Amino acid sequence: MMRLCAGYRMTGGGSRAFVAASEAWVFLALRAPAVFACAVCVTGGAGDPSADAYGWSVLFLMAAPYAVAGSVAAWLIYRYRRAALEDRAPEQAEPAGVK
Amino acid sequence: MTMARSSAARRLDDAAPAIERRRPGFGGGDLPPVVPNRAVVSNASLAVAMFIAAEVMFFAGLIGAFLVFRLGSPVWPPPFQPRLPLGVTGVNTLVLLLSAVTMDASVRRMRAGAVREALRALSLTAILGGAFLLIQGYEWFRLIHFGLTVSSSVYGGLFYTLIGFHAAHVLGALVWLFAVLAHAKRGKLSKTRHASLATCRMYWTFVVALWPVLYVLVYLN
Repeated sequence: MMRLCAGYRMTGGGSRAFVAASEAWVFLALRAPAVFACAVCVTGGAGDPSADAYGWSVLFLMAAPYAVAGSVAAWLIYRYRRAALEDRAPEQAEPAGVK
Repeated sequence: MTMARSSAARRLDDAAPAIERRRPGFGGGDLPPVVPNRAVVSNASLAVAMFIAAEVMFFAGLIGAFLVFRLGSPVWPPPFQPRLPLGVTGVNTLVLLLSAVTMDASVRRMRAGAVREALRALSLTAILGGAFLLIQGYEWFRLIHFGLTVSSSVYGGLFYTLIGFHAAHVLGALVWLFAVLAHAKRGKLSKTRHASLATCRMYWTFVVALWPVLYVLVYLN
């Protein structure tokens, strides 16, 4: 039995498996060859067109979800405001829930 | 029978039922009636908006990939590659933009109760969308003839992926539009019930609004 943290105990089989997995992980980590730091670090030099291209692409993709969520929110706000205006002038209102 | 009616699920385009309830006021007398807020956006419209948001992210991924290759290349388009037809595609862009105008007119006419005029505008939209796809197809046929294929270069691969996916979306929107047309021809659309037309307009506007972005990125850059 091995006590890992307060309130949690491992059974004998679980403990052996945990130790074996840890040893395997340490062994593989030591045996691993040198790796690049980042999957998109294609170049190292500043001002390189490829690095700039990756940078702009990443920035674009980072901004896209905010732009999408902002557009949907703006549309909903517009619909609510228009509905409020229609409630003030009900005779000109279009049927609710059509659009 | 009454219970079955009251427990029946609402349709996607149904507005929330306005139930007027009166609460007993403190010390007798009635308080003003409690009227629930009406839905300002139908469930169908909200679903299509979320779908369009996902589509925007899909195209953002494709545009991101395009930017990597476009900005990373010192010379663009790459040498020994056929040039894209700017003039014909420019006219095609106008055709697609015009289809958005007719689609908008169709919804406006439907809201005004002019169903036949709305159908006419919708048919015109279908014709313009079909014309866009036909011109696009002819353009592709010529480009393939000149040697620009999906595997000829990164340029060809990017071109056919971006423009091809957009064309597939226009085709999908056209199928949707024909389904709405068939629905309307059977007399299922009216001034008060036209959620299918309104949602189709949303999607059509999306594919039309996307095209100028792709045209500027792929053709004019």
